[in-house]
Amino acid sequence: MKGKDNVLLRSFGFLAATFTISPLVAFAVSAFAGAGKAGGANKALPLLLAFISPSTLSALKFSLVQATMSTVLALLVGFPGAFFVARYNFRGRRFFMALAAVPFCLPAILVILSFILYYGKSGYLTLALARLGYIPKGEGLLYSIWGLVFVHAFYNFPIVIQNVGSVWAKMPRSREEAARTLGAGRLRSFTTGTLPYLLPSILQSASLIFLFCFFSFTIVLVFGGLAGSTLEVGIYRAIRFTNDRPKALALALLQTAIALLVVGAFAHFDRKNAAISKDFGNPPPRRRPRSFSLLAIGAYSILIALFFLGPLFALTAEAFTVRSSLAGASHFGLENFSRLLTGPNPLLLKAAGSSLALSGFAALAATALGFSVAASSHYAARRGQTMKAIGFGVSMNSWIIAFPLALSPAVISAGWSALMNSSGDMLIVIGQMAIAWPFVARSLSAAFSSIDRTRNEAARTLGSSPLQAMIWVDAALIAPSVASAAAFAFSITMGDANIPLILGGGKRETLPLLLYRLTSSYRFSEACAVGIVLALFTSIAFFLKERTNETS
Amino acid sequence: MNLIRVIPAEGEMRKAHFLGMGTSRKFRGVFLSAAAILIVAVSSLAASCQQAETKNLTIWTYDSFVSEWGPGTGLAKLYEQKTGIKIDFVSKGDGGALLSSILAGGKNIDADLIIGLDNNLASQALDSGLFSAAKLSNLGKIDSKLLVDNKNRLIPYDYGNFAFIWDSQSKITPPASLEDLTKPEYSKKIILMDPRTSTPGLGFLAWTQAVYKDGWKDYWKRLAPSILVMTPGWDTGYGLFTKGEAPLVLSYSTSPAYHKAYEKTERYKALVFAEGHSAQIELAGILSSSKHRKDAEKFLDFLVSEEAQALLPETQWMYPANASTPLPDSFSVVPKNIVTLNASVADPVNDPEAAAAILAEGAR
Repeated sequence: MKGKDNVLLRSFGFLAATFTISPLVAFAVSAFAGAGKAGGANKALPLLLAFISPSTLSALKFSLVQATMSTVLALLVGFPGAFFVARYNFRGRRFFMALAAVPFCLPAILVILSFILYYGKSGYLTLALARLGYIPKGEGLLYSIWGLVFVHAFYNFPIVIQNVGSVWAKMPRSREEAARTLGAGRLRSFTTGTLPYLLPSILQSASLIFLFCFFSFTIVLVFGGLAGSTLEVGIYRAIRFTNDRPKALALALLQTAIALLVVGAFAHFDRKNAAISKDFGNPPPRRRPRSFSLLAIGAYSILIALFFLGPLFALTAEAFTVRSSLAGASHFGLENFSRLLTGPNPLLLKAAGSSLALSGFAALAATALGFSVAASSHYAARRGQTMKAIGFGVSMNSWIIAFPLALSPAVISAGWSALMNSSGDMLIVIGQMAIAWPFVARSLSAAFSSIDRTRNEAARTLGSSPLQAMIWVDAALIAPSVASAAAFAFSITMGDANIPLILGGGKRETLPLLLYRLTSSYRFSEACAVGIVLALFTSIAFFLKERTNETS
Repeated sequence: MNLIRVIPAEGEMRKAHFLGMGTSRKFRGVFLSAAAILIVAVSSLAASCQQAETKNLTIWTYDSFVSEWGPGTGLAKLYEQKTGIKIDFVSKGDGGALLSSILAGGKNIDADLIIGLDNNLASQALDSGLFSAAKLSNLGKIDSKLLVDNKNRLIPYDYGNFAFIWDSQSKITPPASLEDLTKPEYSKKIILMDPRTSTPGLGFLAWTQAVYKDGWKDYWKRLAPSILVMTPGWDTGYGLFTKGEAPLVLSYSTSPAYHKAYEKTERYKALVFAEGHSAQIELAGILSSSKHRKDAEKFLDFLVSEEAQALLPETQWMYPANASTPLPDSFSVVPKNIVTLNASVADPVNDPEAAAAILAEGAR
């Protein structure tokens, strides 16, 4: 049994790693296969110079500074929300949790358009303020580092609500109450009774948001002010324009090395978080908010509505705005949708169908792989066969799960394209599965380690075989988590435009691809309409996820 | 195990009975002849497929060429009607991704033709040695200014001048030259694309280098205060412009034709600058590894014929390379008096970095 488990564990780990590593290797091979302008050896010196060139260093500095600032602000904005969803039962609580879909699913160009439509020069907020007699100064503030940090924070804060909130909700009150009975004040009892247990989940969310901001490309370039430059820009340029793949590889290695430190921190806190929440037991009941807390929740909701839902609302309004009249005036209507839905070639319907089918298969495959990795690690760990920790106290398998988060999207895209000489639906499914499985594996690892072992043991003392106990007891406990992980995988693959663009050969149009095609042919309002449909699909998946979490 | 043995036997008997054949011997005969027919049918189908395959052309291109609003579908349909040859368009992503997949694929590319490179990417594509010369009967009809390769390995099929688009409903006076853009009245009024990550950005850099020669860096320094934002791609920049973020945006002189054709508005106008304009010339070429050279050459000849070229203006929103192609009504709003400069970026590796750095410095 012992050997077998290890084989399973290793083979699933290997399989999973293959999907992550192979595009990377394919890219590295193509970089040194002589496709570049100069030969291999005389590339070495310019490469070393590229590492320490002023433009690389300033890009690195800017990436780190903006990601840090964005993360801090996202934490500040998200933390009260996490508290509210953890402690109180109120209308819209589930909605707050489901907002976490946004950072994963809304394509960057729509994020940009939505913030512009709301905060921009002729945006809704600006016009509303002007009507109130207030004309904001600081033209172009949105296009400075402040604008960037603001957009990043308000794009990513729901991750804090979701991750910290769900841990906080399960945390027993006993410790904080004990501290208070011992005479500690509110703040003191929080810092000694709650914060230590919450810290891993806070830092876990922080490292995830930091990674997203660190790799952010379009948003950084648009809102980062003209100073905005990231390592990803250098990589993108070297691949697409100067065909200097060795340089792209060097920059990507540098970027990945730094991201790996953060990923390591992420995996470390993730593990700690799982270890802590395992002992929580049944979640304490949530209260109905009263006077003061009701007021606080109300104020917070208004804040979120004003700053975060506002842009999303503006995007929706834009989808229903028709700009096609002689006078150049616009009116509300359904034309943006109907143009895409009617006629002999209903693009929106076809794209929605393709998206549903492809993401469905990709999500199933990702769930199968993620489940296999998580389950094999879990049962091996249960028998005391954890793989050796190889850094940050994190095991090999956790590294495999977290590693994809540290890779340059531009390199991975080019790698897939080098790896696959052809195109087709099958390849889209494989490529998207490779994106989504780490998220499945991560959330299932957490779910597995929070399984109540006593039930499994009870079943076994009542005469079940270990396998029976595993199937009937553990499977029943883990099923809701599997369903919600699958929904998450579905949302992620649904929102991805890169893989269908590169591996689809142009023959299959998914929703994000349709959106991309609309924006590259002047049709921005119609793109917003497609974006709304896309957001609807992904948020449905997220609401389902929240529901299964709720009932579990 | 038993089941597996029983089921085919049952099926055989039932089938035999159904066909009215009493003996299994007769059935065997029928089966054999059916099998023979099937084999003939399949092999002839395969042969016809193979034949059809020799009649197919595979063309790699960028995504918007094959999208609903691109010319790909129309061109393929027209060509098949004329010649019976099927065109299989394969999109490789955007223009930059197209070049990088060609260079990465080398001689093993499973395609005959490439459509969608441009004058900025031409030298790298030609240096790769992957393209071979084409002999076209329509070559003489192409505007000779557009021919970028004297060996005719890359053939121009359309082009567009880079130009600033002005929102006529804004309250600014339209600038009349590159130099005008540096005036204080245009402070934070211009949306530009990044020369490091986009073709229009690169085209603008080439434009300023053609006009200011060695003084281009000084020009960018003077220009910096006028730039509101530099976007990574054309679509984001133009999107911001149509949402009213700034009254001026870098785009193509043909952009107003889109608004005329689909939004029936002339609000957005292309500005003609005194110094002249740089251009993007889009190119197609035959891969030397193609197994269907003759057919590929024929298609390329078709692509620059008036018939095919007429499809391009309102799908690509570019001028056809064949000067004798009639233009649609919407192009009446495109200014005609634009002087095209012979412009290219002097150092494509370092100059875009330098330009971006100058703007960053100026913004501080």
